[in-house]
Amino acid sequence: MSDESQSSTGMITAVDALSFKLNEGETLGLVGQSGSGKTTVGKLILRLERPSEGRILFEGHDVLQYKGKQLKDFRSKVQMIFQDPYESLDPRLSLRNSLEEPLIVHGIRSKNEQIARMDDVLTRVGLIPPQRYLQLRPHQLSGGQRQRAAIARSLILRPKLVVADEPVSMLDVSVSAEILNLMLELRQSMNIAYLFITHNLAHAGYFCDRICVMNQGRIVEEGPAEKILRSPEGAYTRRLISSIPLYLHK
Amino acid sequence: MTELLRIENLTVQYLLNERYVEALEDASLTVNKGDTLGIVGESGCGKSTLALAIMGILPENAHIKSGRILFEGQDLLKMPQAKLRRDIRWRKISMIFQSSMNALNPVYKVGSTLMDVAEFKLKVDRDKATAIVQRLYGLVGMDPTRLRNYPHQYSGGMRQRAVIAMSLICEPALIIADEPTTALDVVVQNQILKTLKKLRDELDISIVLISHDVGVIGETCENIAVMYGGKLFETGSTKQLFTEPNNPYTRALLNCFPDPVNPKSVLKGIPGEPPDLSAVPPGCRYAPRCTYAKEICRTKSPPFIELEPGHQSLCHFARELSQ
Repeated sequence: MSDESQSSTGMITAVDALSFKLNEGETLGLVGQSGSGKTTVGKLILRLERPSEGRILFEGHDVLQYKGKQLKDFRSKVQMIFQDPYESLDPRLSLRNSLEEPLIVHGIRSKNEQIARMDDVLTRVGLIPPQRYLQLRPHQLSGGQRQRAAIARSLILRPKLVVADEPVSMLDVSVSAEILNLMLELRQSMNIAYLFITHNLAHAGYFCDRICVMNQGRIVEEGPAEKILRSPEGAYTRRLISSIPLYLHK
Repeated sequence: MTELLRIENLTVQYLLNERYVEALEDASLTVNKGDTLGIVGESGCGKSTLALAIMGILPENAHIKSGRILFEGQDLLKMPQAKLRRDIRWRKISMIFQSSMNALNPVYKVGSTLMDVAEFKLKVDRDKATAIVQRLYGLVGMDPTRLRNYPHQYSGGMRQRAVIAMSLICEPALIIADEPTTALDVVVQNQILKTLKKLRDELDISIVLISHDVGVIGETCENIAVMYGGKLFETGSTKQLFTEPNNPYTRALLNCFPDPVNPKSVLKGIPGEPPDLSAVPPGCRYAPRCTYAKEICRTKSPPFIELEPGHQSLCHFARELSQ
């Protein structure tokens, strides 16, 4: 797919003839520096933006053709986690309300079912006991707790794919590592595939099965995470890898 | 070794919602001429408070409870603002912030901003100022013809380098860089860190580099101070702390950084949260999250124990842990 947008000086190609595949339960990293187009790819997949050209096939069907109920169903299967835990939750809503919303939108109205799902996701993300956290509002939570809440919300519809755009970049490192491990654990227990969008190569190396390296809207290299980090082939990738501060692990 | 900066038992509190928050407690550090000291810690550890205290630019609600900051023998905390402004800030000590690159006046060419500083601070004429500014651009690896551009025509990395050049105009003895590369891409970050090292080597400038990223500090600094919850938890050479970290917090922190060479090796976070500094619990501030914590850790504040010359750790069991 390609995506172009209007700028004051003309058209900018944010994503240029980009293709990749993500399998069920797989973690794929989309790694690039700022302006590489990686966030745009995430938004395109969620249909938060429309590409100028191309197809997005989910479970074999082109989601760009979806309308109405099909689109709604699709949306319940593909969810997103954003970078800023301070902005992604509605500050006026309690966690209960934030978690209820997607359930109501997707027709899950039985109170028992709602409670069961809320308890389930909050427990899975470590916000225990769920009853305590349900009544809290975002400002009463730490950054790490908010991100856990955002993850809980992304899980409540039992998606098959979660697009995580820099999910730990704004968290302290001690919390980041915990959140990454949590996401990996959820991948196991709920068979979720992740598209992990980040500029942090080391995190991508840890979290992802495979990595696509992006530069200026294109994928310049693709491969297993370990291979990309240990023996990158392309010039751009090599420059990227060699820039990672290494002293700690020498 | 000439001592340049000595911080002695510095305690800083902030008045927030009618309560005192202990942002920094009993911090003591020394920076000698030519040193590169890295201060590493997570949010709320007090590292930025320390930097602002040195520069004398703490916010209004800050209260320096005790301590001294000796620079070239003089206590900066007792120095009147006028003298700090005239003799110390930007002249002897410069500071680069994470957001410095956004502080360049957007309606002036970058060159004009730098020239302003040179003419005002050094009291030289335009020609001399131009020569100085161009030379500094060369030093930070920038093309002097770019001086005629506006900030929006620069990338983030270029703006940060322009700000570094600006901080060098008066040839300070010490630069404090607070997260100078955090908002920048890894390739640019690498270039900036190389530039800082070059400045240290060629101009003999001492650098205090503050960062949450242990790798960044490791690549750039010869000495490290690890901070947590407003206190210094471990200090020593980079070599000592990376090869033989003593403090449980330091050890846990090092495990939070994935290894790019062995990417699938174990990555462990630290469960829990940093302490609430408006209600500091008794004992060690790290005890609630520490895997080695014993009863004494929850009741009595730990001492700063010297393991080897220059290597100190804030822990009741520092000696036992070093075995």
